[in-house]
Amino acid sequence: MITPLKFERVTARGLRNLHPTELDFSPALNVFLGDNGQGKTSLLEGLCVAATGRSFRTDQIREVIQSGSAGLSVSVQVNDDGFCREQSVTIGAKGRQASIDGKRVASMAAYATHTPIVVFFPDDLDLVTGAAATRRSLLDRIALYTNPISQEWRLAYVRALRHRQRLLEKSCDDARALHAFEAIIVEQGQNYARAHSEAAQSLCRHLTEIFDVLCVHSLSLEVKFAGVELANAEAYRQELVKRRAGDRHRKRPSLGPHRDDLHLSLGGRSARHHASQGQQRLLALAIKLAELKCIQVARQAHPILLLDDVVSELDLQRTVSVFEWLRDTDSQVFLSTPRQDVISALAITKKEQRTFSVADGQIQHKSCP
Amino acid sequence: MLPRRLVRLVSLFSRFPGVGEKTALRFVMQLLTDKSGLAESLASELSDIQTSIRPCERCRNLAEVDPQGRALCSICLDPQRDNTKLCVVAKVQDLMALERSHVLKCRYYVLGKLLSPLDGISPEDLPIVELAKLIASDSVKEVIIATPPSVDGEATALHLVRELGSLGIAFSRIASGIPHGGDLEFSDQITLGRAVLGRRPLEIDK
Ligand SMILES: Nc1ncnc2c1ncn2[C@@H]1O[C@H](COP(=O)(O)OP(=O)(O)O)[C@@H](O)[C@H]1O
Ligand SMILES: [Mg+2]
Ligand SMILES: [Zn+2]
Repeated sequence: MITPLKFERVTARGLRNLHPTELDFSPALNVFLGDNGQGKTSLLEGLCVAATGRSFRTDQIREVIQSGSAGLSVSVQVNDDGFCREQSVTIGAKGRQASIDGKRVASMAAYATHTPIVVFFPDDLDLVTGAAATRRSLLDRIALYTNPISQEWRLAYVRALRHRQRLLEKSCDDARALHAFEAIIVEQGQNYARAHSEAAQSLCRHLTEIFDVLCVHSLSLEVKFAGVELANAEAYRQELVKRRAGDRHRKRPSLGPHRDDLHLSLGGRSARHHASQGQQRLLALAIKLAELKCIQVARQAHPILLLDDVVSELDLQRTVSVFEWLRDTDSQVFLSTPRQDVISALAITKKEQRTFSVADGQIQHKSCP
Repeated sequence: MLPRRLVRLVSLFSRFPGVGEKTALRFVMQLLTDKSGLAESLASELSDIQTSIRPCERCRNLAEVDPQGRALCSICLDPQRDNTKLCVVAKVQDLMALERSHVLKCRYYVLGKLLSPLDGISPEDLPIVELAKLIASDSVKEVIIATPPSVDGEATALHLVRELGSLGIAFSRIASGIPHGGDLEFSDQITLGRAVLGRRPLEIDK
């Protein structure tokens, strides 16, 4: 049984331009309607901070704190299969602190997996058009749920890799200590590569399916995991030794899962270079929905879906197919839009809908949509 | 407001890790109001601490300098210790933790650092030569490497084994996993994963 997971309520203070906010949500669909620059994205960002301790908009978490305010605090009441918990994150003079039901949590990484959420926002177009690192962190995120220890593998792998690189660049004859780091790289790299390839497999399976549903004019999508074969530990180790001089020269390590990528092609051509903007957007959204599906399968819970400004860039037909997908999901959805007409279009989702108006940092529940 | 001497003292105490100005001021007030001779005893203990306490010449544990000017720690001076085993640790605090466990009745060697090129600690900064000498002179048969289960601790262990491998002795590495009396249900995934990967075979009683 896949269990339901819902935000029931949020309380936020010191969040971007928002006034102190307290909102009760619909378990199905919540829509935030307002002109640009009013605070819609900020509210979704607040939900993301409360659930994960991070923002999807920035790596500089302090940017999220209201200018002029000493700190930020957001809490969400989460209903997890009938059990309620309060998750809070504060960011202030003492840095970032997270707690569950009032108890401090030591590790932010562990905190972030309690209430899985998936966010789609305009910059996610990078998943299709951006650098490999964007797709790699997608795989890392999926792996975190399917195989939580993969996080540790990644951190250990990256550290060992950086140690080796430093040794290479600093001196030329430290072959013995290089051996120690390469042994760790091989062990952790094999694990990490396996986590990537499993995440990619799970993603591919769901992605092609979802893209078929969303794509109006059927276009064949091909997803290929681009990673090197590292299954043979001894061969991997020897290859590292062989590449020492080259890696020293190029100032970066040339072999391993830190270079993995996903190749996406539409109708036989690279989606990054040849697809239209509209196709790229749809594909990026499909990737996010596939991520949701992967996490759902791994966690046996319905991740919460945050969609920021998703329909602004899509044409009518595509919007309809996205809304039809929403109709069939059991995930709780938060959607922001500046377009009034989206509200009525959302009727096809047949969901219990709650609409909030967002204006100048104030968010109000509209009793009658 | 505060007499200059006290300001100086407060700023000295504030140099300790974890001590802010408020705590420093509390220490100073305590020293001023104490009636048990705290200030005098502290002064005499502190005046020569850096000359009377040194790293042990043999194992680099903390040791008191004796009247002949030699520094050997209480463990190295203890004749009951098993000389055939040597436990290598990263820092003195780790040695003390192992001592509290009472499982090892052997001697130690404190590395003082871990291999970490990113922090500027290269292989030549590790006291390998000293360690090799100690192993030879003490007829050590087994070296137990108790560096922490991190990338740096692991790399240090691997490096030591490779460097000392030709000495013809056995090497072992401490295990890591679930603490005793710990509940599997409440262990974090990483610890649990390590415990499973580091599992050992069970002997069948015949
Ligand atoms: N740290 C901050 N403190 C106060 N206001 C901010 C902060 N960061 C951004 N803003 C302002 O918040 C407003 C709302 O931004 P945003 O949530 O992105 O609006 P929307 O998504 O509705 O278009 C913007 O006008 C922006 O200038
Ligand atoms: Mg916005
Ligand atoms: Zn000693």
